[in-house]
This record gives sequence, C-alpha cells and structure tokens, in this order.
Amino acid sequence: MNVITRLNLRSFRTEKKRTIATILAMAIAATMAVAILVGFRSVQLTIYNRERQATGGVIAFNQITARQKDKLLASGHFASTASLKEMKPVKLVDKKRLPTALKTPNHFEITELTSKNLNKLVAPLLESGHLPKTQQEILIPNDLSSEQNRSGQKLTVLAAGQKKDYQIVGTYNAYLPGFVPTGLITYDQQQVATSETLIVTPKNLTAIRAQAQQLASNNQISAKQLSFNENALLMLGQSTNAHQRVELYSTILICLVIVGIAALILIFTSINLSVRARRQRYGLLRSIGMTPKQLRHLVYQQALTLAIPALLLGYLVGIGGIAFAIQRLNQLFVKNHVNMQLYFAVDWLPLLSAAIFMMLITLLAAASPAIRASHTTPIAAIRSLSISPKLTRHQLKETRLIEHCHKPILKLALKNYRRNAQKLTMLVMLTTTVAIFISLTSFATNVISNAPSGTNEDLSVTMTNAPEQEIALKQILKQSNNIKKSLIIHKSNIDASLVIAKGPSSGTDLPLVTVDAQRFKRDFNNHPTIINTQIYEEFSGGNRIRAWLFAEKHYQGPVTFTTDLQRSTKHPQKVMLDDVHIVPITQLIGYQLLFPIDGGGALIISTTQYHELFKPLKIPKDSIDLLAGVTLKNRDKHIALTNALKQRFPNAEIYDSISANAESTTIAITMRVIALGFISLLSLISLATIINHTFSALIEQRRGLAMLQSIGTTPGQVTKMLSIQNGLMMFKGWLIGSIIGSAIYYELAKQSQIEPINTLNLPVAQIMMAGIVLILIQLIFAIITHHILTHQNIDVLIRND
Amino acid sequence: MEILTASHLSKQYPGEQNLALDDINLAVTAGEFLAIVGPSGSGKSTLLHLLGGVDRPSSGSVKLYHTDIYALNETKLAIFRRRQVGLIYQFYNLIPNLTVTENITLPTELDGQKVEQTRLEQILATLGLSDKRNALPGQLSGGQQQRVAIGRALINQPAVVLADEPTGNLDQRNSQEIMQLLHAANIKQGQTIILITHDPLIAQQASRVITIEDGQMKETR
Repeated sequence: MNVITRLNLRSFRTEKKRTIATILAMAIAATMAVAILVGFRSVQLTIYNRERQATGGVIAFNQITARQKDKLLASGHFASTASLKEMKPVKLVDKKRLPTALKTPNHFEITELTSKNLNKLVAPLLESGHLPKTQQEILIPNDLSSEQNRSGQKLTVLAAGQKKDYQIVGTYNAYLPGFVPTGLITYDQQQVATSETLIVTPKNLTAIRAQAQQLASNNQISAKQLSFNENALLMLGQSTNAHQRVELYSTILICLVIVGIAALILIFTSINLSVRARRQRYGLLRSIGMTPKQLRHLVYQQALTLAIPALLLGYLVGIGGIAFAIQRLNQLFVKNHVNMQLYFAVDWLPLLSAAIFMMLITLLAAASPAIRASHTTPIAAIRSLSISPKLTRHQLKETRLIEHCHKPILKLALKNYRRNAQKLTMLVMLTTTVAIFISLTSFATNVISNAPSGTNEDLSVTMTNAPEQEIALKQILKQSNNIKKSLIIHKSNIDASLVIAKGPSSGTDLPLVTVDAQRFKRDFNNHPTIINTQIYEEFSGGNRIRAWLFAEKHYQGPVTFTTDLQRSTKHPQKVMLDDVHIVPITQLIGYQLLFPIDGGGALIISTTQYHELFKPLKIPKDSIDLLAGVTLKNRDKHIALTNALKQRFPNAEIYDSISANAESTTIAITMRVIALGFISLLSLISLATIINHTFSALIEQRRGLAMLQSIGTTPGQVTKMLSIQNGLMMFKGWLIGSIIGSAIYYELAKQSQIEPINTLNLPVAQIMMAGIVLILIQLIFAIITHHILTHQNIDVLIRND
Repeated sequence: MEILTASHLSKQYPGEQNLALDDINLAVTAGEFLAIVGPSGSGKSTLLHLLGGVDRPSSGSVKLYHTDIYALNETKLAIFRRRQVGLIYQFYNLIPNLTVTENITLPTELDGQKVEQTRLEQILATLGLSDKRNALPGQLSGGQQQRVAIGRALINQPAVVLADEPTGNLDQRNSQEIMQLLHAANIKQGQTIILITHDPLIAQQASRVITIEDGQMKETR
C-alpha cells in the first residue's frame, strides 16, 4: 500500500469522529445530488410514458405496405406496437349535416382499427361516447359534432361509389397529438387497406430517431414516412429543436448549480477543517521530506476516499427518499382518482451523473485546502503553530468601541474578532449560506403558495331562478350538516358597462348580480355596489403588477346595461346610477365564495331595483339565474351532497369543484412535496455548513484557548469571549446574507413572474428562521465550548498538539 | 572534507528590527559532531533550521555537497531534505497514528524507495525498539519516542543529522542513552551531527562547540 494511502487510512481510523462528521456532511450533499438526478430521471420517464400512452407509441411508420409492417414487427426492436389501416377517403351523403367550415371539400379519411388498437390509439382521445365495437359503429372528430351529428344518429357515407351506413357512437378530440389521421374511425372491416401505419415504442430509448431511420432504410421506407411523438422525445432530450433541449437541460442544470454551490461550501468547510487541524502534521511531513505535490495528493486522496462512503450513503438516502415520495404520491393519485402514475426510475445515468457530480464537487472543494496544505512550511511543525498571523496596521489599531470598553473579556473578544485573519473567509461562507437559504426557500415557498388551488367554492349550483327552487335549495342546505359556508345570489345575463377614467377598468363589462332586499341592506347599506377585484397589469419591461380593477371608492355616472339580445339589435339600456360604492372583495365577508379575488368583479343591485330598471325592456324571466356557492366542513363527503342536489334539481348545472380539482390539487400537492423536499435538503446543507464552520473555528483555536486558561482565564470567561466573537460573526453574516438573499429572491420572483412585483414582501419568515437557527447554533456552541474547555488537557495542548 | 558550508547567513523575521542571525559563516566537515550552544532566543534554532533547509535565510547561502540548497525549488528542497538531512526535535514530532516502524520508514517510503529490512532491523535493534516495532507513539515513553525520531532521522543515511535539543525533554538517564546513540552513529557510521543544547555536559561530548549570542557566532572549542 502506498504511503499516502496508508497515512490517510490511519488518519480515518484514529480520528473516527472527524471522519464520520466529514462523511455525513458529504453525504448530505450527495443525497441532494442523487435525489435531484433520480427525481429528474423519474419525472422524465413519467412524462415520457404519459406522452407515449396518450398517443400509443413513439415512432410511426406511415403509409407502409402489409409486407413492410410484418418485416418491421419481425425485427424484435419494439417494446410495444399498434397499427391502423387507412382506407380510401369517403364522402358524407348528407352534406347539409356538415358544419360550415367543413362543407368543402366533402372528403374524409377513414381509418379502421382492431379492438386492441382502438384501445391503444383512440381511447386516450375519446371525448364522448364509446369506442366502436362493431363494423357498423363509427367515431367522429369533435369538429364534425353538431346537433345533426350526435351519438346514436346514423351517418351515411359514400365509399368507392357505394353507400354505407354507420351509427355514430362518440366523438374524439381531433386536436390532441396522436398518430391517428383526423377523420372517421371505425372497427376493422377485414378489408384490404390502401396503406397501413405501424406505431411502435422502441425497447432501446437512446437515439430513437437514428434507430427509426435505420429500420426504415432497411425496409425500403422513406424518411418522409416516419413521424415521431415529439413530446415524448422532448422529455428524453431528443427533440430536434435545440431551444427545447436547452430548456430541458438548463432546468436540471440550474438545480445542480444551486446544489453544487451549497455542496461545495459544505464539503469545502469539512475538508478545510481537517486540513487546518492537521497543519502541524503537514509541517512535520514537509520537514521530513514530503513534497508539496505529495501533500496535495494526500488531501485530494483523503477527500475523494471519504466521498465514496458519502456517495453510497447519498445513494441509499436519496434513492430511498425518492422511492418513498413516489410511492406515497402514487397512493395519493389513486385515492383522488387522478389518472397519473409516477415512475420510479433508477438507471445507470443518474447514478453515474451523481457520482461524477460528487467527485467533481469534492475535487473543487478540496482544491483550496490542498493548495493551502502544500504551502505549509516545515517551520509550522517545529514551532508548533506559533507563527504570528499576518495583520495589517489597521487591524492592530484599536477602534473607539474597543478603547471605551471597560470589560476585559468583551474587550479581548472585540480585539480577537478584529484581528481574526480567517474572518473574511468565514464571513463569506456564512453570508453565502444564509443568502442561499433565504433566497431559495422564499422562492420555493412563493412557488408553492401561488400554485393553482382551484376555485373558492366546493360546490356550485346554477339554475333558472324560481322562488320555489330557491326555497327547496335553502332547505337542502339547511338539512345537510356538512355545510361550512353558503351564498345564494341571482345573476343576470345582463352586463353593466361603466365609463371610468381611472384605473385599468375603463370600459370593463361587469355581470349584474341581484340580492334580496334584506341582504342588500345588511351587506351593501342599500347602495348599488361594485365588487372590486384584482387584475394583473403588465408593463413593457416584463414586470407585472397586481392592481385593483377600480382605483376609486365611488362611481357616479352612466351605466349601460346590455343583454345578448340587445347586442345583436344594438339597443342598450343606459341609466344613471347615483353613488355606486366600490368595495374590495376582501371586505365583503362571505362573498369570496362566488367572487374570487382575481375574478372579474360584479355590480350588485337589489332585486327591487332590478325589476324597476328592466321592466320597460320586458326581459324574459329566465334571463336571471339562481347561483349558489357552498363550502363543506368535510370535503371528503362531497359526493353525498352533489347526489342530493342532482336528484332534487335534475336540470340544474351542478359543479363539483372537489372532483374537478382533484387532479390539479394532487398535482399541486406533488409540487409542494418536491419543493418542500428541496427546501428541507437545502436547509440541512445550510445548517451543516454553519455548524461545521463554527466548530472548525473552535477546534482550531483550542491551543490558543488552552494558553488563555493557563494564565488564569476561567472556562466561563473563555466561553463568553468566544460567544461574543462568534455572535458578532453570525450577526454580520445573517444581516448581509439576509440583504443579499432578499435581493436574489426578489430578482428570481421578478424573472419567473410567479407573483407581481408590487405584492412581493420581504421574506421575513425566512430571515427570522435563519436568525433563530443561528441563535440556536450559538447556544449549542456555547455549551459545547464550555464542555471542551472544562475537559481539555491544557498541558498537552500547550506543549504539543 | 567540508560537506556543509554556510556563508554570510542572515535572518530577519518580518516586523522585527533586530537580526535573528547576523552574517554567520560556518563550515562542517564530514563525520563531525558539532554542538551549538547559547542562551534562549540567541538564534540557535534559527541557524539549525537554515542549515537543514527548513527555513529560508534573508541573505547568504548554505551549501551541502556543493549544492546551494536555497537555490532549489520547494519540491527539490523537500526531496533534498528527505535524502540528505535527518531532523530530530525536542518534542519528537512523530505521526501519532503510525507505528514505530512506520514512523521510522516514512522518509524512505515518501521517497518511493523500498525499505531495506536488514537496515530497519539493525536500526530497531540499535535503538532498542525491536519489541516495540508495532507500538504507536502514544504507547511509548519520552525516551523511546525520541529514539524513534532518531531512527527516522537516520533511516536514509543522510549527509547530516540536525538535532534541536534532543534531550531537552528527557531525564538524565534517557538523555545519556540518546547521546550514546548519537555518538554511536557518529563514530561507527561517520554520521555528521549538528546538535543544539543548553546542557554543558552534553556539549562537552561534541567534537566542536560553537556559541551563538544575539545572532552572532563565536567559536568556543
């Protein structure tokens, strides 16, 4: 065994605590790298598989012969296959049934598929009805769907001069990406096709385009006959669009850069701590002939050797963590009936990338300590580290604060702080760590809080206004013991147009809402009221501002009421309204249920006013709807109320937003889990760095502290002195880090446009959290320092290290 | 034959007005046992470190076998040190996590050379450490640790052994044992030795004694 390896192994064995601490610090960084890379790979494959399932495959060999299809299938390159038969185009016999846009040319592709292929290729596109199950059933594209072309109706086509009748069984979305030609889709008629299309998913996911081209060329298929699932290939980084590829990889690169910086600081601190503590030994080795190169080699080898168990630990925790998170999220998807399955993908690529990443970061982090170690002079060993630090005259000069300080320990602490040669390095580390923590956690929190969370109400009911219906509705709501809040209003199909000079609202149409007299008096003080909501205003620089729709508090002037009917006849009803109040929705308790803060607002008048205003227009009674919004105490029991309402009001439009929002809510939860995981790991790295830093300084000073003790300074006094020094450092790091972190957060939020800049607040919670953590570390530091000081052998430390 | 010469050697530490060493001229012949004496802070250790290529002078030169050691770069100087200079310190300065054998053979191994087992056995036997070969420095007495340091200094058969108060931390019996070992190396193997000491009895055992006072050298005997 080489002498350098032996020296390192002996050091690891005899300095177990330091070795374990370094491995753990490195393992935190490795865990983050592994989690990000494995997580990214899993997301990549999840989206790839979703795209693949949504279209039925990745490569399509279009318009090929049956022989070519058989040869391709025999090649054994594919994980899954599907095919369709393209028949001669047909014409609709009844041209009148065509929507205007499709009348010319009356020419439709018709595709035949077997039951298995229909399930694979068409089922994901199905919009209504069911897939054709017999040769007489046909599926039409949604743009052909009309009053005349509906499920259950007959469709007669002219194929090769012969009429054929089909029954429409459903529609499919012709605008979704897929390999099925837009046209009519029917069950396989067992006829000879004009051509066939083979849609495949290759077994090997690398260089899919090249594989396809090779297969095409081997089977006399031209490149023009190939088409690809571009969305799936994009996720595999095989898009032909360089910009998209850059976008995909820059996302992971940004994450890795953030983790890289944090990991670099953490690993650097750990290695630096070891190097500083071993300075005397390095000097000794230099004195007996170790060259600077050998010493650098020693430090690099030490770092890389420790990175190996750290990486293994990182694999274990990172992969385990991601696997656990994916399993829990998949359970959540199943529970919420979300058609989504996250794939857990651990293959060689993320594992190898994580290993390379860790080794690079470790080498980078070890570079400066290794160079410093190689510069250790033999005299350092001989003089037992008693070399004077290089201090400038400015550092030696006593400040006014020090001059006027009468407490000796405080004075000594201030002097030590001022003359600490490592102060700048430590301050930079501390500031960077605090800044990274504040900026990224604030940004991630902002992303989470701005994630879509669905509408305000859990259930909404819209039906034609009728007094008996309203009574029945109120009764159902009263009887249910699951109602948290409810609001019933009347919404007209009349729009109110106001002329307002100030604010972004000029010319805005507002829906007209009526409430009963009692509510009008209680909630609106008998004044016609505009519910003021917020909108985003965008400026040329790309900055977005969140602003109230109406800048004023009152409106007095003309209001033009229009209905759909009047729009077409151009006879609006213009009236003057006295003193319309403009009230922010935030002040109208209970109304947020139906009027979200970023919704369009409304003009509220009383039912009486409504009748007075519109009596001359003879507006039909059914032009006003009854609208109810409900939030539930127990959201899991939403089905029971929905069913009760559906049963009582079969013609009402009942919107169960809990069911509708299940997917977006689940995706929002997934986002939260990912962001919180990232925050947790980042916080852990920040915390480990600060702890490492603080204690490295303490261990380095042990000899000097022993000297102070030897001249009669008590452990309590030394602890106090160190706490002052450390506290000053932490306060400065916290202050500067908070300013820089807030600035980075502001810039990140501005660039990402997640939240308008005028609503961005100082990340007080994160700044306070960083402060509290630093205070806690400071307290632990004081306790440990006192313990070390009362237990250390002063004689040994003074004589030799 | 002169193997080590120091010409106009001066050393001034940064921020200090006085010279630690002032124009020292010294020649050491092969096989000589030279003792350097002088009061604390007189510059003895500084001279020793300059002679061994451990520290760099402010001016002047040191030649060992006609090689100006300070004209060498850091790497060559380190290689030169491990092959031509053996250092013995007052506080032994052994690597605490290496055994006796490993500490002794370290300079040879750092040089990429294979350790000659017969030479190692001979050294261990001479030092009386054969039964302690696998012990760690922490398991040895002060005298034993200093013997390990002597073994480490002698393993590569250097041109010169520099000993900075090697007995300063030992009792009289151990001091005598260490001196006997150094004498044996000097007489039997012709090893050139330069030793710093405060003890007049130790200095008397050297073939030549020089005194350093306020950075200046006086030939005493």
